[in-house]
Amino acid sequence: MLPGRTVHRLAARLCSERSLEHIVEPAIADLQKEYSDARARPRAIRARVLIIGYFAVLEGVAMTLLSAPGEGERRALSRTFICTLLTTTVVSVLLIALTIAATPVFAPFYIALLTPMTLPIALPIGLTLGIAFGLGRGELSHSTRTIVLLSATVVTAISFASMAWVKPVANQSFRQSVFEAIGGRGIVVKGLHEMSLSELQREMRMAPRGDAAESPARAKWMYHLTFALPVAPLLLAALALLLIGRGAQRAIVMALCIAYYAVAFAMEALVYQGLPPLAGAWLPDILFAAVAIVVAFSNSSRLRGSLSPA
Amino acid sequence: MEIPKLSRTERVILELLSVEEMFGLQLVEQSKGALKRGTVYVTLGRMQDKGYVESWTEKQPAGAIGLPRRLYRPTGYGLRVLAAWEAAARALSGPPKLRHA
Repeated sequence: MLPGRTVHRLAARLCSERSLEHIVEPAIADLQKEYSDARARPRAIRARVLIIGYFAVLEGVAMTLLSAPGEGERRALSRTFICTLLTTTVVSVLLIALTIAATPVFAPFYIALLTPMTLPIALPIGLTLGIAFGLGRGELSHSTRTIVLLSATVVTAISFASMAWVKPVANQSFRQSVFEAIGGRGIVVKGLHEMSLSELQREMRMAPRGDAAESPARAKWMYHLTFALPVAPLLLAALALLLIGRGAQRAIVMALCIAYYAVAFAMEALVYQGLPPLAGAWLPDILFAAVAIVVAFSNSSRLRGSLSPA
Repeated sequence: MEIPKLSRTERVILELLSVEEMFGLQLVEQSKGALKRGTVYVTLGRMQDKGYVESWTEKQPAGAIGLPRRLYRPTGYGLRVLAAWEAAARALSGPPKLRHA
């Protein structure tokens, strides 16, 4: 099978017909030609052809998307990315400061160890507020919405990588460093936040112990939360776009963002009281996806109403 | 009258295409690093909008699979713009020579 078909289908949904024909398709044609020429060559060379070819195609798609919005929307997108960066930094610094304030000792490298823990919360808040304050209220073009949603998808991937692989290691290093700095000796036992996905799965299968904080139900909740919480950037960004698109106040977007995390962390308490961990982890996402669907439907019916003849 | 603009990469493309018609990837290979593979089609698309180049898809043999590649050649207008820019560059290159008495 020739490479590039999936990217072609994706690009057909994202790019204009002209961009597809003149920018994306020629790049895919080059990739396919080079790949078929390299068929008889060693696997390493074929892999190199694929990587370089796909990179060129994706670069073309990205440039097409970035050049599509008008000058005004390009400026709004720049504002959005700057607001996102600033808000993410502020939220990260706040969360790190709160943790360090509760720690008896301090070393500058603690900041680096605590940063991965803050990303799954700081990034979605940053992105949502970036959308609310960076993009102007009112109608947005298709390409602007696509760029924002693609950015949200990247943020979702970063959040997941951070929660699943980076945070457990960084958290444990932080705890161990603090323990040793206050004179402790030995290895600090891992908590649920410090466990990898496989360790959480093992913990889930264990019989309930007296310690409620480390119960299998909570391990299950934490395991599913590793997948559910990173969906927040995509959901909140979609909701913010829908609300900003219909001219909603920025305060409403901010309130919804806070509400998401309030609901997500309230679920932990409900899991202790018997709520199934799977439901506890995914309910905030389901709830906010439902809100986004309702807003999207109300937007489209409003649009149909304004277009129908009097 | 608005003077047509020609960026450095657009000039490289027109110079290469003035020799013979080429595929995008051939342009990248022959530019010796002046053109990037990921951006060449964006530049070619922009040049087509400006009327500097024209393109068409290659004829593929029967039974060929995959997308056809796109061939490019300069338009008469594109070649005139290139000639005008080259003339301007020649006229403006180097500091004025002082005559000694």
